[in-house]
Amino acid sequence: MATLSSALNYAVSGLSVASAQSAAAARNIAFAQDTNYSRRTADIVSLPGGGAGISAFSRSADKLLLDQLLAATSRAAGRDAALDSISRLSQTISDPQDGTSVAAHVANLQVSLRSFEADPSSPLLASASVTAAKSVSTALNEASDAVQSVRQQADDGMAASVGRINTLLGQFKVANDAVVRGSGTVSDLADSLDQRDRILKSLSEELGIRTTTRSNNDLAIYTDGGVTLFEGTARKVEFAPTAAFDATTQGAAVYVDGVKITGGPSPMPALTGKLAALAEIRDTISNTFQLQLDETARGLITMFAEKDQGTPSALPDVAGLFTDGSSTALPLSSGMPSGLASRIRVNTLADPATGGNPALLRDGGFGGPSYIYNTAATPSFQSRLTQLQGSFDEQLPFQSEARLGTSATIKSFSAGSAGWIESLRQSANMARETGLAQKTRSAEALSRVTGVNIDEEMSAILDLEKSYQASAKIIAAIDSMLNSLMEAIR
Amino acid sequence: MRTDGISTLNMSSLLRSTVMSAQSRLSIAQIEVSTGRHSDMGLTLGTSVRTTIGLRGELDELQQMIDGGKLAGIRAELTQSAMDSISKIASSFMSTLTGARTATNGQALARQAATAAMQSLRELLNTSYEGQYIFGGLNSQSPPIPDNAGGATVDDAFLASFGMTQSDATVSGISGGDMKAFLDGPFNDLFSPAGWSQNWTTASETGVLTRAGSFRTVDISVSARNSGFAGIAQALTMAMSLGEDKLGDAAFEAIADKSLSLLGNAVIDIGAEQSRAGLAQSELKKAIDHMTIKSAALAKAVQSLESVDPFEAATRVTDLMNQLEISYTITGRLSGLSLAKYI
Repeated sequence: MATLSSALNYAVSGLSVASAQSAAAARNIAFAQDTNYSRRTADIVSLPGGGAGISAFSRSADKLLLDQLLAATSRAAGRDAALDSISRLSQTISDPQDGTSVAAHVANLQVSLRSFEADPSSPLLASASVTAAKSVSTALNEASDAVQSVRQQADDGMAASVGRINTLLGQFKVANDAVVRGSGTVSDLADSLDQRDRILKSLSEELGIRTTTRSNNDLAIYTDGGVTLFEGTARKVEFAPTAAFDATTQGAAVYVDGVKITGGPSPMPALTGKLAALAEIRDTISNTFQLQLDETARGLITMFAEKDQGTPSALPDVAGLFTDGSSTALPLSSGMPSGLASRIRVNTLADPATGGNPALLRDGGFGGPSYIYNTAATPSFQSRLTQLQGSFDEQLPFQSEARLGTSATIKSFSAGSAGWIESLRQSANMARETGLAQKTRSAEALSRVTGVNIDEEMSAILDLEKSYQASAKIIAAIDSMLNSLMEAIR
Repeated sequence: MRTDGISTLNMSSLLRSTVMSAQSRLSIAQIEVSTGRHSDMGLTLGTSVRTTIGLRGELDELQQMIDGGKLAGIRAELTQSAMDSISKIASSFMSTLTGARTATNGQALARQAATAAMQSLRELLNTSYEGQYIFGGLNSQSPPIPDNAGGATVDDAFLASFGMTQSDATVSGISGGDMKAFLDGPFNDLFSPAGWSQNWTTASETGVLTRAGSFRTVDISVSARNSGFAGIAQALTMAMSLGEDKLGDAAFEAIADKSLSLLGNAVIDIGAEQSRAGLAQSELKKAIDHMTIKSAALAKAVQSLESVDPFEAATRVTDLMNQLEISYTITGRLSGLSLAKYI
């Protein structure tokens, strides 16, 4: 039977419910600008002795949308990292107008040789040709250095990424343990759940992940390749960074729980995320680009090589204007980057800066007296220069691993290399933009469900204010009723 | 669940990202308007970068060949005019000699004229342009007719044939027949192709070839080794030094006859060489014209790849500026639009 005192009970519980709901709204408003915050609502229940109470603060969540966001984050982060590295590689090309690419320097060397060919007696033009040749070798050296520094940075990035993954997995254990312990009790788990989602979002930037929810809201994490990252405990992610890179250095692989996930052939490769993208930059794209540079260098050394001019010619061909470091032997081709581009030099015998004689370019004889083409020491000896400038338009064999075909002129090969890296950059940029748009959309969709709208909270507060006032009024009314009763008794 | 709602954070970040992307696109459009080219070639062109790099290389090559061809053209003009002068020298000496053949002081006249003509011939054959002797062939660094050319060998041959030096008083006793035999024999050998290159000139037979295309050269140079020059030098040397005015009439007539026939042939030879070089020169000119047209076409191709439509870019700037302004207005309005203001 309802009595005045039960009415009073309800009114008092109404006050406390209104306060709790105000607290939830205030908390929501306070965290409105936090992307990782999920909106809370106070759940109302009837209390056994009459009156209303707050059973728990429930948290808006949507696993499907979160999973979508995690996947989009991994893709976007990976493509971002890839574009960043490819852009640094493409800086060796620059704007075609500037003529700073290896291809432009190669074309310029032919032009210089032709000027020299038109006036072979000119010492000025001889020096100009050697200077043009030095620009070619310097451009190759610098491009090669740039490639290796990109690889170094990718390796450093992988080390940082692995470190971050291990830290995040450690933090995840703490948050996940709190959730598992608290499940089935009345404690407020919302903060721990928020924390867990935040860690997942950070983790997905480094590595593509999939999650599975198990009993007691326990979450297990796997890589997108299927290797376990977290199942009750965090698995160890291991990586040995490389201190210094040259063209022949192989970077180390990343292991999760002893399984190789990236940085070499793997049965369960990581597909998305920064880590996988950096490994691809380090091991595939950079190496192909380096091989293209090495092949360009090999082509140049071969083109300028000298033949024994004796009859019959018995001595082997030797390096002419361009040499592999200080070696005069001709480089051999193999399917792997050899770092030739970092070692190619202009022969010191031709370089005026080292006391050399640029006229050797016209006369031959880098390899010694047997290799002199201009045997009569004619001042306007032309045929060697004609031969050299013509070699720029001849098809040379190149390795298929460089992905630019197996036969091309040195000019089209080096220009092709520029086109190759720029087309990669173009598609990486497009992929990045799509990835970013997907991530933004996923984040928006999730935020619609879990985010805070301040206006909504404000209007809720208005309602709460009214129900608080009403409860207070009821208490005052009951008070006056009881007072009237007391007056009647007295 | 509020699938149709939007969170406050979403709304503000949406506005922010709109403004930011419009600003970055605006800066790109501004660069493109001011330069007329894509702001980031590699990103816009992708694989086609190889094409523009290739085209630019080819343009540089063509420019070099055009410039080189023009320079060679100047050299060819010089060569032609020098050869014209040499032909004129030969012709005028021919008329002098025709008159002198029967004149009383003919020998002295002929000798004087020949000496002057020889000097001019030497000077013309030693013409240099930009440090190169244009008649030197590949030996472009030394004068093709050195100062000491020829002289002693003529004296030696004379002594060997007649047993006396040219200044000997008894040269007047040489018969016309003997002189003719000498001129056709030992003296002629001195100016045969082998004798000419050994005794008179340091020039090489072949000259510096001029590039008229990536795979093509033309030979516009003329060497002092040409038989026409040898013939003129031979005719002049006879008249200039043989016998030193003391020859008998028969011997002098033999010289004059031989000299006239040599000069006639030499002028023909020089004419032939001139027309050969002239043909090569016109071929070079045609090649230069062709390369100029090609280079203009290539420049256009580069431009079509690398340029942006200036009107399109300018319109883009205007559009983006409008968009930005609208974004700013909306941001301002929305920030004022809050329930908190009304309660």
